[in-house]
Amino acid sequence: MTGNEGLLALIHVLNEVGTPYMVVGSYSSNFYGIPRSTKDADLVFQFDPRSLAEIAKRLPEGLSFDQQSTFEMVTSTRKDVILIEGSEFQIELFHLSEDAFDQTRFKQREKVMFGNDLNTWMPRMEDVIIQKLRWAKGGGRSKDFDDVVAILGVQENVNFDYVTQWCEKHGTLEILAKARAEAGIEQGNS
Amino acid sequence: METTEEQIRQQAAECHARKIQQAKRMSSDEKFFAGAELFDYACGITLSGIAHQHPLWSKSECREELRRRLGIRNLVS
Repeated sequence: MTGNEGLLALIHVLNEVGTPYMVVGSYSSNFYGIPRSTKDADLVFQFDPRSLAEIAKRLPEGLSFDQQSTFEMVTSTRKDVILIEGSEFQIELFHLSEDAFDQTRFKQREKVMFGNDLNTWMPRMEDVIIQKLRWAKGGGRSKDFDDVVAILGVQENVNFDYVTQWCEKHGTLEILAKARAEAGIEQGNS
Repeated sequence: METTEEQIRQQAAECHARKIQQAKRMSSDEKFFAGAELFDYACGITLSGIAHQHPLWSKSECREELRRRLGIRNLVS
């Protein structure tokens, strides 16, 4: 099973079970920016033990939960990992946290349709930028910064007033300014 | 003639501009699925390289080495 086949199978299960979720991370930045290689798919979902058990029960052959749930340090959230048989690709299921921004981007997520019949949920483009900047600061990863520059290059109608409000709260205004400069966007254009 | 730093910067900027135009032309489906497709492609090339470097290794040993390089633990085979 390939990584995309595994992700599609999981999305079908999540839709069937009715668990609120969204696809985040590099899938979302690829969607709005310039696609790059990724070794995992990240999803945020509204955790409750019953739906997690139901998801585990409905997973098709070839997909399985890693027995060890882990803690992600930058955003202080718990995550479960789904392994794909015969693939190095992994799917990470982050539990929706109480963090104000995590709650906001989840509430604002948008339904997206792929192919003929695949409905899934994605964060808004501005929310992808805000979260990536947070990762760039907290995780110190240059690829998150590059993802933001790519989104700013591809997208033309970014609501910078909204982005700036959250960046102020997260202490990422300086990185935002750097990304805007790298993307060739003047600071006055909001 | 030697390439100057300014020329390298200019070529990098032109390359980035081409990438942006290419991304704008891609469909939503293509962009959504591209990350994992690129990963599979890169894994295939790396596996070939490992097999070339270690001709006596089995397929599972080559995959184990790939996982080690990727920093992945606990995978189902």
